[in-house]
Amino acid sequence: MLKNYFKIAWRSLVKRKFYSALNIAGLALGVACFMLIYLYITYHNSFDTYHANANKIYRLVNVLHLDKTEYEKGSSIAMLRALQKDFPQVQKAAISISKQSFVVNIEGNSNKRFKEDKTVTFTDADWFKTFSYQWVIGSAAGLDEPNTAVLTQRQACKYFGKESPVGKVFSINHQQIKVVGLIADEPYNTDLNSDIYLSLSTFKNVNPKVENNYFTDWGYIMSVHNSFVVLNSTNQQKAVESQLKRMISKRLGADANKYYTFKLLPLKEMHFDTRYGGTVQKSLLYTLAAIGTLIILIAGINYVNMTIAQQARRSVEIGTRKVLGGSTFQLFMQFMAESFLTAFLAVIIAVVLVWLTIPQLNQTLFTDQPLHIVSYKNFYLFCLQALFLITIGTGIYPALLLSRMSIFKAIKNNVWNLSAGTNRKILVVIQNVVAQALIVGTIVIVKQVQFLRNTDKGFNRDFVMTIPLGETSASQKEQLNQSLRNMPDVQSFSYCHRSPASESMRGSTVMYNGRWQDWPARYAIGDSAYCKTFGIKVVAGRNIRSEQAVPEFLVNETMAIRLSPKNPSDVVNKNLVAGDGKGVIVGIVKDFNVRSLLEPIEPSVLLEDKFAQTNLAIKLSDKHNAQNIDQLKNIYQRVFPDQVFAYQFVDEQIAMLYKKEILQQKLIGIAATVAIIISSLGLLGLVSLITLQRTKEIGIRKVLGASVARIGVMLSTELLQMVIIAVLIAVPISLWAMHQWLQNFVYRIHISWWVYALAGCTAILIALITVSLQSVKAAMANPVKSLRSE
Amino acid sequence: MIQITNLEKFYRTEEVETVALNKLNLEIKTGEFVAIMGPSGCGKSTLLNILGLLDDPDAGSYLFNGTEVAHFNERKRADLRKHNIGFVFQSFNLIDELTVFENVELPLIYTGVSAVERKTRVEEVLTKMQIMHRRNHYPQQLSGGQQQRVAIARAVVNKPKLILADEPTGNLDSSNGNEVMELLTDLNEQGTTIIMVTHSEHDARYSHRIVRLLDGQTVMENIMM
Repeated sequence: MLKNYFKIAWRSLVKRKFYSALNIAGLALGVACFMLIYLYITYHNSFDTYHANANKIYRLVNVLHLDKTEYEKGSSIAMLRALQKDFPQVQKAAISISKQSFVVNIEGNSNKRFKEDKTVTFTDADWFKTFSYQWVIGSAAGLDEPNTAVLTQRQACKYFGKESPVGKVFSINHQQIKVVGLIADEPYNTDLNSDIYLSLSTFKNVNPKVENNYFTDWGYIMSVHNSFVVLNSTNQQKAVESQLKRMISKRLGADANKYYTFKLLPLKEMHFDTRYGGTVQKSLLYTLAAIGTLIILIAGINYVNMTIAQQARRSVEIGTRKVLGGSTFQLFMQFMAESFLTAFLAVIIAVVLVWLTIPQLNQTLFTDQPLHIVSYKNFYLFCLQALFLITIGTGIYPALLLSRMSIFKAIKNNVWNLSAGTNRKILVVIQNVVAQALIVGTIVIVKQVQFLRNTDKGFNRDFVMTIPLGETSASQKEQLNQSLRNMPDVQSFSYCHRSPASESMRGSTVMYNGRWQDWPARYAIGDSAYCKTFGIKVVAGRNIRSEQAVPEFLVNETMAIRLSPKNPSDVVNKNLVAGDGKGVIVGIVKDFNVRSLLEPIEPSVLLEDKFAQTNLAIKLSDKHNAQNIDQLKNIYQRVFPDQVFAYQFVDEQIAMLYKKEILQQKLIGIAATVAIIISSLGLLGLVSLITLQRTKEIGIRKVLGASVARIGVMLSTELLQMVIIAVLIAVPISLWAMHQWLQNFVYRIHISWWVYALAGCTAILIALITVSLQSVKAAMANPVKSLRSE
Repeated sequence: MIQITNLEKFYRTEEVETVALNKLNLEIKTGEFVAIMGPSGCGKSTLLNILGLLDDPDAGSYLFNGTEVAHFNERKRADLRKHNIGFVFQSFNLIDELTVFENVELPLIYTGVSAVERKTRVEEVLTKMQIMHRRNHYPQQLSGGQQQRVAIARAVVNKPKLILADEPTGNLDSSNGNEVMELLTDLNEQGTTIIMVTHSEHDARYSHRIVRLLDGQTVMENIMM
C-alpha cells in the first residue's frame, strides 16, 4: 500500500509539473533559508563549548559604576594571580594578553617579514591547561621561559614552510624568540583564537616601555587581559565573587567596590555578551530564528494554498477513489504521501542550495566569522526533523480537507468555488504581510546603516587615511615630516592614537577645580594637527600646541558644559588633570564622536600622549590618486626599513564599526528577497489555477465581447485585493517593530511615509507583474478552445 | 435485491427547493438488468447515486438484500459499496496517473486483497474485457471504447453483486457503445444485477425492464421481451 501511495504521489507530481515545480521551488527556497539560519545559530552556539571544562570556566569581567555604567571584559594580571593563589574554589586560572600586533622577522631570511595584526597573544603554560588544545610537537611547559613561542600549524607553515618549527628562531622588536611547541590550528568556533603564543615573560622584553607595576598592580585593568578561572563546581560562582569583593576592598581601597563590581562571566555566555566583547547578540539569533520560521511559514502556506486550489482538478479522482472503496484514511495517507514527497524533494534541493550558498555567504556576508557546519550528524538529523515537520505542517490540512470531501459532490466536480475559499485568502494575506513587513524592515535598516556609516558628528573623514607606526624615534619622525610636507596632495597630517569614531577607547575620570569628577571622560589622543586633519572645529580658545612644558588640552562642548554648566566657556585656561598629567584647557572644540554613533557623544578631552600616538593620520586632497599611496609607501619603507607598510582609509574603519548592523541589513535583505520570491511563486500558482478554473467563463465573456484588458483585470483583481489588504496590515506592524528597533540607536533616522509607500508599491508591483502575466495569457487565448475545454 | 419505498430527495439552494425524488417506490430482483430512463432533471442520476450509497435520501426506505441501508454511516456504506457494488460512469473516471492495470487493481488494493491474487484477478478480468494488451498504457493513451472497457473491468474486478452504470455509452460512438452494452449483457447473464441510467432507447433495449421517471416519480415500467 505504501509503495502504491508513493508511486501515485510521484506520478501526480510529474503530471502537474508546473505546480509541482512552483511548490517544490518555494519550499526548497524556504527550507534552504531555514537550514542556513539553523546552521548559523548552531555555529554560534558552539563557540568555545569544546573545551573539556567548558561549563566550569568563567571569565573575570567588571562593571564600572560611574554616572553611566561601563562594562569591561578585562582585569588586571595581579588580580588573576590572587585568584590562582588564594581562592580554594578555583581549580585553575589562566591569563593572556591578546590581540597584539607586531612585525615578525624570520631569522636568517631577511626577505621574510610579516606584519601580524592582532594575532599575537602572550600567555603561559596555565592557559593550555585551562583550555583544550591539540599538541602536535612539544608541550606548554616551554612557555614558562622568556622569549619562547608556540605556533599553530598554519602559522608555522607560513614562517618555516614544511620544516619542523620547533627550535627555530624569529625576532620581534629585536628580541629573538625560540619556537618551543606546535599546536594544531584552532577550531573555527572559538573567540580565544591566536596564531602565535609568546610566553608571558616575553611581554616586557618586546614592550620595553611597559611600566614595572604592570604585572603587580591590582589597578592595571586592561581590556586585552583575558583572565579565566576553572571552578571546582558551577555553584561556586557567587562565593568567588563575594570573596573577590572583600579582596578588592583590601587591595584597591574601601571605595573601590562603590565603583567596581567584578563578576565571573560563564564561558558559554562570552560569545553573546556584547558588553564584554561578545561578537553576536542573542537577540540577532532570535530574530533570525523568527525570520526563518516566517519564511518557512510562507513557503508552507504556498503548498497548502496550491494543494487546496487544485482540489477542483482532483475532485473527480478523489470521488472515484472513494467510490472504488478508498477509505478516508487511505485517501488521507495518499495526500500525506504527496506532501512527504514534495517536502522530500524540497529538502534535497535545499541541502544542495545550502552547500552551494555557504562559500558565497562566507565571502560576502560572514567574512569575520565564516559559517561552518558544527556537526554533520546533527545537521542531517535537523533535515529529517524538517522533513517530518514540513510534511505534517503542510500536508495535514489539505489532506484532511480533501479526504473528507463528499463523494457525490466530488464525482460531479461540484466542489466549492476556488475563489471563495476564505481560509485560502487569509493564508495569502498572511504570507504577503510577512513579505511586506520584511521589505519595510530592509528599507529602514538600510537607511539607518547608511546614516550611521555616512554621518560624522563634528569631524570630517573625507580622504583621511591612517598608517600604523611602530616605535618612532625623533629622527624618523623628522624624516617623515619632511617627506610629507613635500607632497602637494598631503593637506595635513597628525600623529595620533586613533581617528575619531573608533572602536578603541581610552579614558578616565578627570580632576577639575581641584575635584575628581564622578564621570569618565573619553580621550582623543593626537598632536596639534589632529583638529586640522580631522576637520574638528575649535569654537572657543585656541588649538593645543605640541610638546609644551605644561600639557595642553582641548575639551568638547559636552565636557565644557559638564565642567561648567552655567558658563561653559569659563573652562578655558582652567587646570585639568587628565591622562598622565596635570595641564591646562586651552580651548573648546565642537562636539565630535570619539566612538561609533551607537553611543552618544560623551565628555571628551583631546590631549597629547606621545606613547599612545602610534598612528599617522594623513588628510589627502580630493585630487589624490594611487601614485600618492605608492609615494607614501616608499617614504614609509625608507624611514622604517624593518616594518611592513599598511594603511586604511578612515571611511573603511568607520564601516567596520557597524559590522553587526551591516550584517543585520544584509540578512534581513536576503530574507525579504526570499519571502518576495516565495510569495510571488504562490501568487503565480494561484492565479494560474484560478484562470484554469474560470476557462469557460473567460471563453463566454470573450464571445460576448469582453476585451483582453477587461478579462485581465477581472482575473487579477481578487489577488491584488489580498495584496493590498496585506499592505494595510503590514504597515502598522512593521512601523511598530522598526520603531522598537530604532530605539536601540542614540542617533537614528526618522521613518518617512515614503518607506511604507515604497514597500507597498513594490509589493503591489511585483504582484501585479506576476498576476498579469498569467491572466493576460489566459485572456488572449482563443475562446473556442476555452469553451471546448469545458 | 433492492427494495425502495417512498424515497424522497430534495435539493435546496438559498431560495429554491427542488424535488429530485418524490416518494419513489421501486423493487429490483437479483439478476435483473434494469434501465432507468427519463428526461433531464427527472431524478435518474439522483436515484442511481442513492442506490450506489453515494448520496443520502431525505426520507423513505432503502433495503439492500433485506437490510435497511438508507441511514448507514459513511464507514458502513463504504464497506457495503466496496464488497457489493461496481460503478460505471459516462466519463469513465479513470485515474490518469494510473496505468490500465493499476486502475483495475485499485478496488482490490482498497479491499486488502494480496498482491499475488490481485495480479491474477486483474489479468483475468483484463483478458475477459480484451484489453490485456493495453495493461501498461495510461488512460489518455486509449480510445473512448477502450477506456470504458477498463472502467467496466475495474467495476467487476471485485465480483460485485450489483453494477450501477450511469450513461455508460454516453461518450462513445455507436460501435464502441454496442460493444460496451454487449459486455454488460454478458455480465448480467453471468448473474450480476445491472441498473443502468440511459437516454438511449437503443441501449435500453438490452435490459429486461425499463423504468421511466418524470419529476422524481415512476411513470411507466416496460418489461422487455
